[in-house]
Amino acid sequence: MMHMRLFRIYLLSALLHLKEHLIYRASMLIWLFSMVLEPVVFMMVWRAVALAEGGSAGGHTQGSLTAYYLTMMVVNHLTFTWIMYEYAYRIREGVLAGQLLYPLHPIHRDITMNASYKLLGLALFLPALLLLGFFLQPEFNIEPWQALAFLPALALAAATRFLMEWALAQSAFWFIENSSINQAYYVTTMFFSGRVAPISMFPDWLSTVARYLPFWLSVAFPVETLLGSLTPDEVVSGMVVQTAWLAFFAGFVAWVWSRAVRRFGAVGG
Amino acid sequence: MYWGSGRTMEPLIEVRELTKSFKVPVRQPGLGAAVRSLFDRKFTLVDAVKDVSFAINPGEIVGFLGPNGAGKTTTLKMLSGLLHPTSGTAMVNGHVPWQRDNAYLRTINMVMGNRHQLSWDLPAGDTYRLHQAIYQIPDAEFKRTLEELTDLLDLQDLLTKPVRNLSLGERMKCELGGALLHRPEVMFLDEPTLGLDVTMQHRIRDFVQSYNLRHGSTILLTSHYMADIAALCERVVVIHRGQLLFDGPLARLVAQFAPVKRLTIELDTADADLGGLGTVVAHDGFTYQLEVAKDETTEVTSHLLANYNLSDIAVEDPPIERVIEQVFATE
Repeated sequence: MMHMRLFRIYLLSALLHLKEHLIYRASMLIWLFSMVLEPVVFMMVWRAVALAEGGSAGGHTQGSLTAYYLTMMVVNHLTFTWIMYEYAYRIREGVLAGQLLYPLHPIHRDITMNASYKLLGLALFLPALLLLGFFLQPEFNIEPWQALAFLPALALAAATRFLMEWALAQSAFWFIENSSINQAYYVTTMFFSGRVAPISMFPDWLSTVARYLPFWLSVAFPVETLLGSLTPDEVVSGMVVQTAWLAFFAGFVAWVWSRAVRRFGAVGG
Repeated sequence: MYWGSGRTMEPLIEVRELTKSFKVPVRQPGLGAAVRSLFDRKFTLVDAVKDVSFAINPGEIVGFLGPNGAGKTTTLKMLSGLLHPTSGTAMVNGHVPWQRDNAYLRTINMVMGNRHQLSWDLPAGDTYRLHQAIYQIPDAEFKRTLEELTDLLDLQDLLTKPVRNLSLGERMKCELGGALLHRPEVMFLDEPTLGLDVTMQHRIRDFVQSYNLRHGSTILLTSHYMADIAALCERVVVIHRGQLLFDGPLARLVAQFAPVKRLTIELDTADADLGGLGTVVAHDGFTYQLEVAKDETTEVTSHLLANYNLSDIAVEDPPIERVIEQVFATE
């Protein structure tokens, strides 16, 4: 009964947000385009480096770098969130007060809002992937087990990143101006997630550290799982660490939320 | 509380010594003070609500009166589970509001004049469907309630327009409709007529009244407009600077604390001396505002009509802030 209720809420809420996203389709298209551009820019830089160094950079060929960044483009789209950037606004403008009156945790609305956006976004990302793939000739060597492992790795990555960033968004309850915190997070995740460069290009010690951090696990880990740059052992242990982070952030979100609700009203509406 | 039948009625809302303090940073103007505050931050504790106690029976409409910052909204927010109090207790419908049990949230709602639950970009009807799912309203009941609300609030043409294209009053009607779909037993209305024109204020008022009569919901209402309170609430609770000053029938409040009427008159002269008739509280060109003891109003009005060339006259109760000022002054 409870599950049926939640299912209905998810369905209707996703539909509602789908309609909202469609109203701002031009704005959405520009956002999505900038998200396509980011990995393309890094890909072009590393391809140029690989070419200058005689065909490979840090062990990556032009073709494998292209495959890495094209996959990264789709995975990053499927796992990113933007809730932390609008959370302070929601508190200030009373949107959150309205949501708190429902007998429903506000996180559910965010899950459906996020999911519906991702779904719509694929309409741009898949053609972009095909088009760039056609012109830039990525080297994909995907074994069936890698494709199979990719799906749970991606699901765990999306869930971990969502909870991590949702918890971060709650900082708006303590700091009315939390955009500096968001920016610090952005820079950290940009570096450690493997979006600037595959972490195998880092010094060994740093790359080892990065493999245990949630940033890499929630973005580049599924990418590397799919592309076969990880051994089966590394994939399994990566998923174990992902699950541990997921459990940690689920607990952390519950803990932060119970305190955030108590703080509500001390700031804004 | 005893009713006609002699039966004891349990209050639906019981509030005891409810207090909410906010820690507010103190900042002096000027660059020097800004630098000093980096090393030595000063805070003061502001009591938004202090030791407020009252009890409300099922089906009552109670008006909360008080100037801006009196603590009305803070009280309503605590009762609707949005705010945790600093101390004190409250029980609403058998629940402690700030524990935010879903079972509690299902039986209440709050409408705030400057807040919104409806999706800004979509027609209200879309959000209503989501409300139906959230509150698990069976289809038949949803349909019946929606028909009733559409009829009472005149929503027919509004439900298919995006909310952002509606006027302020239309939007408020849609917010009210959405807030009542699950037939809450307790409604908190915070300035529901804020910024609305007189006609729309009237409609909202009529609606609240007929809704209360039909469903026996308990309603707590805050408003700046005396007319809202006068039309809806037999009982008022006056809060000032966080403290409860008066709790009783409206008639007694007005008689007790507003023993004057305010006359606004327009004459053909700018230098009439009306001081002998009452207190001139404002004078701007040909317009005068005069406060007159209530029982002398008729006499003064006839005197003005007989002796002056009046182009306009209005007789009103003094503004609510003035009544409250007097309530406060007598304490």
